[in-house]
Amino acid sequence: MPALRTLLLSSLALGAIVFWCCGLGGEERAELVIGNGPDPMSLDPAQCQSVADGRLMAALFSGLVTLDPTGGPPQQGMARQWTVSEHGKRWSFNLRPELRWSDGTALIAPDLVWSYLRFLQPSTGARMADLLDCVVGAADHRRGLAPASAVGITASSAHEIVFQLREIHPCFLTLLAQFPLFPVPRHVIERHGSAWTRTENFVSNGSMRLVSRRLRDSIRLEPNPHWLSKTPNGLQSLEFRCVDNPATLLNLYVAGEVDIAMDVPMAAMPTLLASPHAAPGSELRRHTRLGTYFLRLNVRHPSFENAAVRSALALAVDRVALTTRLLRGGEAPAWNFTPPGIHCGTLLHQAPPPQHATLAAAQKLLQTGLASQGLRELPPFELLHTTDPLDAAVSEWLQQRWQEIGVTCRAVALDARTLRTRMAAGDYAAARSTWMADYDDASNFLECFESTSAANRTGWISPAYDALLREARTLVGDDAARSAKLREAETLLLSAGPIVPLFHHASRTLVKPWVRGFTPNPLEWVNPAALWVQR
Amino acid sequence: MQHLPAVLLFVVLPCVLLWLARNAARRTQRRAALLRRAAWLPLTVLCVHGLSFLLIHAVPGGPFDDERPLPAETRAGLEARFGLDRPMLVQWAAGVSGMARGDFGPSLAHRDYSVSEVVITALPPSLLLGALALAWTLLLGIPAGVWAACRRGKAADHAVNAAIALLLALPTFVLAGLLMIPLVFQWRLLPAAGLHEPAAVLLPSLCLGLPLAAQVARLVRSGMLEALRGEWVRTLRAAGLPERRVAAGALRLAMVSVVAFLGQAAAAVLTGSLVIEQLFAIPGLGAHFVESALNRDFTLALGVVILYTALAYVLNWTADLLLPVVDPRAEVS
Amino acid sequence: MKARLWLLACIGLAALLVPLLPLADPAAVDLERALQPPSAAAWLEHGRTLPQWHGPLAGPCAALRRACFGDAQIAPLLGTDALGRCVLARIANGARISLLIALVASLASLSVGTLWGASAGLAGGRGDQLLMRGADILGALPLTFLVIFVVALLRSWRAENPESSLDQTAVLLLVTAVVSWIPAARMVRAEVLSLRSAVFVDAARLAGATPARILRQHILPNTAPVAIAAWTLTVPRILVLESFLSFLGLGVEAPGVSWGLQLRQGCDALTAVHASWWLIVFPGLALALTLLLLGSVGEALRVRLQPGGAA
Repeated sequence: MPALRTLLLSSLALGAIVFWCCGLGGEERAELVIGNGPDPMSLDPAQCQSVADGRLMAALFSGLVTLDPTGGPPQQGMARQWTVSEHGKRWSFNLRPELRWSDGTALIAPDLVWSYLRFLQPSTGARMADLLDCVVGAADHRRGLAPASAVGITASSAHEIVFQLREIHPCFLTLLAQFPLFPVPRHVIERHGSAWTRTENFVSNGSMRLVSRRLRDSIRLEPNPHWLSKTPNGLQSLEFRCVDNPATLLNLYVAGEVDIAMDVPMAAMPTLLASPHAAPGSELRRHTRLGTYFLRLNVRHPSFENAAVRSALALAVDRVALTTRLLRGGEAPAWNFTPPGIHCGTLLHQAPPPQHATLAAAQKLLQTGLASQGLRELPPFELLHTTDPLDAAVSEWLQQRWQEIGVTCRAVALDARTLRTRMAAGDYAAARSTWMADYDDASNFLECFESTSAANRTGWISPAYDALLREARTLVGDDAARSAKLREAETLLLSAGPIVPLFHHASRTLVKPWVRGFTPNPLEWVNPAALWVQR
Repeated sequence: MQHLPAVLLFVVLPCVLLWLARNAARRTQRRAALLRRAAWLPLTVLCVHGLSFLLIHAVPGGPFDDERPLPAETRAGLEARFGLDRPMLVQWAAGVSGMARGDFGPSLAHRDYSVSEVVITALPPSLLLGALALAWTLLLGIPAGVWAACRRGKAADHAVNAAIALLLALPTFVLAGLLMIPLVFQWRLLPAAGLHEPAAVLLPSLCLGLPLAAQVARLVRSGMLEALRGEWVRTLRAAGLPERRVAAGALRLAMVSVVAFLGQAAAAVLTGSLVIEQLFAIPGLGAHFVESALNRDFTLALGVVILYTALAYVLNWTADLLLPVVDPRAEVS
Repeated sequence: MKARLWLLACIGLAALLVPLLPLADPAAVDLERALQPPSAAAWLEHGRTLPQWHGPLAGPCAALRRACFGDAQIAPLLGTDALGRCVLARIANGARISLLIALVASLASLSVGTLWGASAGLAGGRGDQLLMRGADILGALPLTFLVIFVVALLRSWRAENPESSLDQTAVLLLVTAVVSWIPAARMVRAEVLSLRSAVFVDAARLAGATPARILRQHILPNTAPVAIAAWTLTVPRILVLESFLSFLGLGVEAPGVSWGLQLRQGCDALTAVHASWWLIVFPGLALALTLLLLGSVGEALRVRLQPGGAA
């Protein structure tokens, strides 16, 4: 048996060696551990996109203004105060004079201008580079048609920055508080180039600074000594755990390894809702998110050329059953594209469920639509969805619902990239989609379906709709008139039916009782400066 | 000049090795075979790279396709930055010559890291997981196989057989879910996920090792049964050895197939860890692998594929080298 | 042995006759009774919609079932899943796709592997080197990678050619067969190589047998045990691969159902706060039992085919 013994011993020795090499453990647990989503694409705020990235960015950086977690108007950030001209097109911000980067370098207005111009450059790869299109010359500069000097962002002094807008924007302040527009350190980027996001080079201007980063595992922060204010009971260390799988996140939360779980798997919701966790103010915090889950119907597809057919499909879906019986996570049934409670000038509210939302009515509508196309029944079509379990469940449920009005669809699961490519190419019949608000305004949703918008993807073109949105843009400031226009536009969008809204997302967060200062909000972001731990 | 390392690695080196193998053939068969295998490693890597490159670019969906459409200029800027706007052939050539220098370029989805950095940070957890999984495989598989073979036809044998079938049938994600409930949530023995303390690696490696342990148990069982009927064991019995020593002798024979299987198992442990890594949030190579393929992170996917290919090749090779140590007959054939 | 064969036959027959059995519709979503644990309170229930079948035999099957059982269905004895579908019906229906994939894909991969391995073994020299290095390279491509991309490619090809007969089961069959033939090829080649130099082959050659006759009479029949051993290894591998595809969400498409998909859905329902154990235990048992039986039958078959009878 010597061979066997050698083999066993050597495999054990190998295991022990690797064990040793890895240097597990090491760091002690941070004061607060947030179970966040997937690892951020980059620590460069301009290149981030997801809500999970935004939470990390909000800890590391501070924008000109910052969002109020309770939903109020934006608050002071880097800017101490700001003024807007009478016609609403010139905004000037007064920076706090004591602004510092986390390495102690002063942060002045010209560097801030440089940071915004960098955001616009295509080589930066900013996903939301069109966010600043309301600024004079920004869109042209972004496309390489105008020099940087033509962009309406200027520093009038070391502590004042001025924005010239092309047209009035419904919520310009909220826009400036978005994480892609957080400032980046010019002095570091000019020295290190794209390597500035490495842990050893990284410099930020927010309430926390980066200590260490383990790819796909954890990001550790500590208070930024150069931050403006010192909160007495502030966190001494904060860790973001990067976890892709919500089930794993829940496991970590239950095992006490994270204090906040930013997502909860669908399957756990019924149990959690029935348990004492769900009591108001206790561990499970729910909030409607400004986001809508909907289906796109491709109007260029032969099956969906007719608006009546599209509306019939929308009518046959019982959203209340979907949200209360299948999802059960606090999602709101959606008859609108814009989510309830979205504000900044609009008073659009959730439409009451149509009384005639019955299968018979849907069937009749379908027959009318098909008759006008000279068809007897709708040819079977493909419903594209991602490989996410929630998507699969919703699609299967839809299949069944539509079967009841005699419509056959085949649910096809595709990986997310293939799905998006096919959607962008218009190579689909029906596909699931979701839209999350960038800022709290109905126009952010409705402008997706303008004929010029790249987010449209349904082939639906309506001059009347475009005109309504154009008019709404001229009405910024007059909330009543503007929301009337937007409501008219949305009515048109829903009756023409290139989309079938299904539900409005809800945030589901688990927060341990000792975490204080956490406010659930519709944009699902966390203000780390407000958090503290009281055991 | 830029392509010199690539030419050296993928053309000159295999030729030299094959030439050596041809000359060595006159002396020893075995050395020639090993040299030939070494020569085929760079060629295999090159072919795998080419095939993967073709597959990656044939598949619909690009790395920058998202729910929110990317502005056209930004897309162009990103493509220029990552060199995706060049002709396919140029991209492929650049990939090959980069590979020869060990540089796979920047990762498209983890933009703060280069592919080599991603791989280097992800390899240790994967190796740790794999090594422990192999340890579990042998520690559980061999005794179970021996036990079943010694009690052939009895209850123990049937139980082991059923366990083997169950472990072969259940995918690792199910196994992980089932084991987690008692060990993590009921008795709170082990942490739920991550690699932040040494005990955290026990459960994932067990889940990874159990299906392989089942295969090893099967190999040991059938190998021992065959050996127990063989002439060698009959000789041992005739020599009056106690039954325990006879079984040990039979096991020695059965180990031949286990060693031959080890190379395959080591490769399986490495490439099969992706589900486990995802479920236990372990920042290893497997999770990167699936993620990069699904995300169309072209550069990272290619880097990981090449690494896996080379590792699997080397592991299989090592198993072949080990074989004569356990089985003297292998040298002769 | 006989008992096992019979049991296996029963499983196969049940899978084949699913349209005739009084089972619930495996795709019938009923959110009213989602996640019911197993119960034997009622054995039969009436008045629910009957499953729809498509294909040439669908009509007669439905009529026969109606004649035998009326509208009676077996109640969800094994519980229901998150969409309120009967687990028992889903296991029975899943058996159809899982067994089909397991058998057809494994046989396909086995025949490709045997052919490849045997030709390599027979060709010897350069041809052998070329074929086996080709297999090595394909085998070196990590499986996961291949599977993700091949599925994406086939699915988009299917979307562009909706009239093609490539349905989703065919996609799964192709993918699983493509990635699983290589070990079989290696095993068969090794066997052919050793047979080529076996004494009885030399004897046949000396006796003047043509190469074709040697191949037909002496070599191929003797590779059967190895081929069957390779087959018993391939089947579980293919079933696990299918469940892995389901884990990635790229497996069987709704409303289709397979055991792998069920296991994945069961795994989703297995959270730290709540465990719907029946969603994982029953499909897992079905899969394990089938594999156990297939394994032991394959073993017995191999022993029987071994030259010289049961060794």
